[in-house]
Amino acid sequence: MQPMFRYTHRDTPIHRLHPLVKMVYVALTLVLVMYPITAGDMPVLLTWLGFSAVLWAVARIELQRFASLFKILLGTFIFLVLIQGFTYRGGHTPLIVLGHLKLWEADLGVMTREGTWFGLVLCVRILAATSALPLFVMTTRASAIVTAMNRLRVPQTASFMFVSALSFTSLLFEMWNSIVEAQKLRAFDIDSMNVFKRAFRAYVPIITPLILLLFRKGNDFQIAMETKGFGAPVKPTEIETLTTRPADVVWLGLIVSVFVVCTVIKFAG
Amino acid sequence: MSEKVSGGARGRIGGASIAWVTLFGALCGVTALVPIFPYVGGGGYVPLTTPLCAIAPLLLGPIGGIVAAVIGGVIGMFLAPAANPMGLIDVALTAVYPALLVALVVKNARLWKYTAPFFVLNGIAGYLVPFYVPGAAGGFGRVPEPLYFLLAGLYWIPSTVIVLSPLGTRLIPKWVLSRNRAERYGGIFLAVLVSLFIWWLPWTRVYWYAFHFSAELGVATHVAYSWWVVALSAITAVITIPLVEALERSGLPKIQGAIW
Repeated sequence: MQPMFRYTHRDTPIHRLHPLVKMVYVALTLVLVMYPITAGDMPVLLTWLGFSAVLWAVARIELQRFASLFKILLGTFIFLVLIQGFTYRGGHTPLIVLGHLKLWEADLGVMTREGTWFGLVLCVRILAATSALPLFVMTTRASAIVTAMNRLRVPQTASFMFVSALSFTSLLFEMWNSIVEAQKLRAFDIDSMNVFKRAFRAYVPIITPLILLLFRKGNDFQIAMETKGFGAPVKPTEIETLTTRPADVVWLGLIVSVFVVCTVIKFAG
Repeated sequence: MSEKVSGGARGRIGGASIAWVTLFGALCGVTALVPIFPYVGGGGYVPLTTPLCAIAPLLLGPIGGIVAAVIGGVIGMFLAPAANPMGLIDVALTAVYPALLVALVVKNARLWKYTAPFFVLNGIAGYLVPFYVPGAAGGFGRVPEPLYFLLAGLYWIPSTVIVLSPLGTRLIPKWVLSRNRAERYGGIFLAVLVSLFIWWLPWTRVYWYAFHFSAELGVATHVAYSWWVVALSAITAVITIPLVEALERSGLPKIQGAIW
């Protein structure tokens, strides 16, 4: 078990970009994909997806990562195309006819061209939504995220907890894998179990020792925190100092402009 | 024999040490990469994050559990962005909401005045969105009535009745703390079941809106998921009990408001 998207150090304009600008990009992506959708929205979504692809390219993120993202979402895409193909209420042109099964407004035996198209539009919507966060994750250091959180007036305890938790994930992956391997040595192999057996049987022998170990480590962590004066009424220092550069303003302007163009195409079309 | 009970001091959240809340949050985040239970009809999985966040208030107390779920959700969003296309909305739905609902149910003896209206609001919103709000204006089809009302009602009316009845106001909060194993299993299973039935409504509606579900699919999904929520609650209870028993025997300091 390892995450597919992690911060990768590179010297690119996107890596140097102010984290708040990248947060604006993620937020605008969410706003765009939550607009009410119609079958004619493909140009809007492709424009934003294309813009995201440009940002991925500028950040020099390997194409393989995008392929992995696509692979993860493939199940959802197949589900969407089939479901919309067979149930879309605006569908009239048959593409595949398996029979006729009328259920209220839909004929569930007929896959329509309009429904399939609408399913594809939804797939692009999901891809556009999903492409924003990996870019943020892969180009922004944890320390920069904390500083950005401080700028947004997030309480220091919250940002400390977030960054500590983020840095503990490597330890957790290690602990998880060790426990899984230890259980395999005891002939308890979760990889050989089916989905349902795994759901009901596999996780107890992993989660229980993991949480006990974790809480024991937590005691040491708490002592270390208190020894180092956590919670003292002084302003803590920041590892990373963030300054706004002219390039940040230009990128922000570009991101907002593309968003405005997409919104205009969406509502004027 | 005296028991160490943590609470009150600085560096704690709702009685739980910040370190424990942080580490449990990290665990909830990491488990976003562990698929535990498939969606009915395919297309994805519920991650292990959801059951772990649901039991966080049982292990860390209500406040500590909810905070751990928030951290876990955000970390999960960073570790598995592909599983969280809606960003913070997904954090709220897959991590924070289950923790919040379980916390309300296990503390229902005091909080029922808030729990019951909250459940009703959830139910009404879940019934209306997306087939009535935005409804036809948003391109959504017309659902058959009263069938749709009854199916949506299955997810919130029994849960609301339970939290208003003595079962919810007295017995479930008592059973989750019981030394009797059968009572404790029953109490935890019921607390999680009642919570997850309510959770299912907002959790699905955002995606129904995003995936533009047809009315037929909306009806079919209500039917298909009725057993699924029960199974997910059973899985969650199965994970919780040995964990609670192990924590009780561990000698670790107890947390105010936790069930061990």
